[in-house]
Amino acid sequence: MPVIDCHGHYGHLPYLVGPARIEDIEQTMTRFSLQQVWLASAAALGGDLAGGNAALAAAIAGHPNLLGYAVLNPLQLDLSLTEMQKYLPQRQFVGAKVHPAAGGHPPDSPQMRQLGTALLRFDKPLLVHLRGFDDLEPFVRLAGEFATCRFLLAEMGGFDWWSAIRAVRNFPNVFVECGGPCADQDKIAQAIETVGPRRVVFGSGMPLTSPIYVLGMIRDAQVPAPIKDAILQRNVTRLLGR
Amino acid sequence: MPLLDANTAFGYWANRDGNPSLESLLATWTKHKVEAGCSLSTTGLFLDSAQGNQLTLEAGRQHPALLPVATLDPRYCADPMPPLTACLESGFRVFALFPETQDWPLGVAQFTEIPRRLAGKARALMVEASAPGAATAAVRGLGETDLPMVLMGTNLENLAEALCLARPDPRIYLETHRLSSTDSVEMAVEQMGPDRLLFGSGAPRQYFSSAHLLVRYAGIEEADRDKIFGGNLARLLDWSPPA
Repeated sequence: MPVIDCHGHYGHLPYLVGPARIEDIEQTMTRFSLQQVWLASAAALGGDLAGGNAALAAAIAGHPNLLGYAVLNPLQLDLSLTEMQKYLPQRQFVGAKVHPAAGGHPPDSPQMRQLGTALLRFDKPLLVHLRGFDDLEPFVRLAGEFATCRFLLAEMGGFDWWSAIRAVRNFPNVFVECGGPCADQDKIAQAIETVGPRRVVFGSGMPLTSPIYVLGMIRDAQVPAPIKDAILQRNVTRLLGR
Repeated sequence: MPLLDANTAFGYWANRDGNPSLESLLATWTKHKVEAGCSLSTTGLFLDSAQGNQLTLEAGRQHPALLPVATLDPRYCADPMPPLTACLESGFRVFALFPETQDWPLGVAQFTEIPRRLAGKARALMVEASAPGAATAAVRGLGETDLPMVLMGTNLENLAEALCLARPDPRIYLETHRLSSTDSVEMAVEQMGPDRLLFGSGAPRQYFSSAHLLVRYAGIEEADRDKIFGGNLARLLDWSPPA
């Protein structure tokens, strides 16, 4: 079935990976039957917030199967608030992404809270990438404080997924994305068992992680087929609040 | 070409719940039509290498698809020669070291002794090297020996380093269980050629299909894919299907 990939990157990344121009992304989509990919700008994540978000917006215009995240940075709070105002009202921007560790911020820093407050206005999800175990408690505090905001936990918390899914278990506004390079068996089944079948969504992190690598996890996961289908496509509607 | 799996382990993992058992590994191999694969008991990794190696040998005797890999923990081994000799006399020809899981640096004296003692006797030394710098330290430990070294766990964080080492050095092999990024297999083939890449799944601890599909759908020649999926490991270990 066509797959919605909630987590991809656009632009040059400082790793030995395949390129992530629009044509490369669309080629990957065709190769692995991805119906839609939600992209964040690598340049924005690397610090050029305004330039990166603008480049992404220009690149995905006219490509209805590519949606964008507005990248925010707690270190650049005023600019982030401006970027939010600029992009989140646009239909083609599905939410915001923040990598608090990139700025040395815990997920519940005062600046992150200000971003959370501003985000409430837009009713769009926030994709959050944590450093690891130490970020879990602050993240959970943030999610609890902003209970009407929907959060997407990138890579299910990474290699600390076991702790991450248990930490967010009782926060229905937190979804987990099953991608990233950690292919521990059976993180998908445990995620379903812990947070429920409606809060797990498919995301790869492409090109840092290939969609086919994550599709392999779904293929081998010990969960019923209808739940796999929900992960691959249907659960994103809940993430979007529909 | 038969599908061979270069990297698996069975038994309890100290840092997580669950017990990826030998039965689970064999079932995974049956499901995915793996004809044979390298494996070892995690008892050797986490508790006692001699005991673990014994369990590995026993598993290999009962299940011919399992190609036994010996392990050694330098943390309690001032002289690696006796345990290495015992393993060689038991029939082991592949050895694996886990400095990251066991938390010891590759610069320890015992490590540099091991390739020297195994050269000419073992078919390969597999070394866990997933963090940046680890592969370089591992290869440095090879010295001037002609012992083939398989770097386990190459991933996005150290792929460039691993390829830089492997490209000019015919002793160096990369196993693929943690290659996960887009085009990583294609890049590896382009940079170091297809003859020293070994498909590894990390099963049953890791989803088999993640590593398998990455190679299966890689944009490479079919002949190269066959090499990665089994031809290279068969050649390295001098393995052939049982009659």
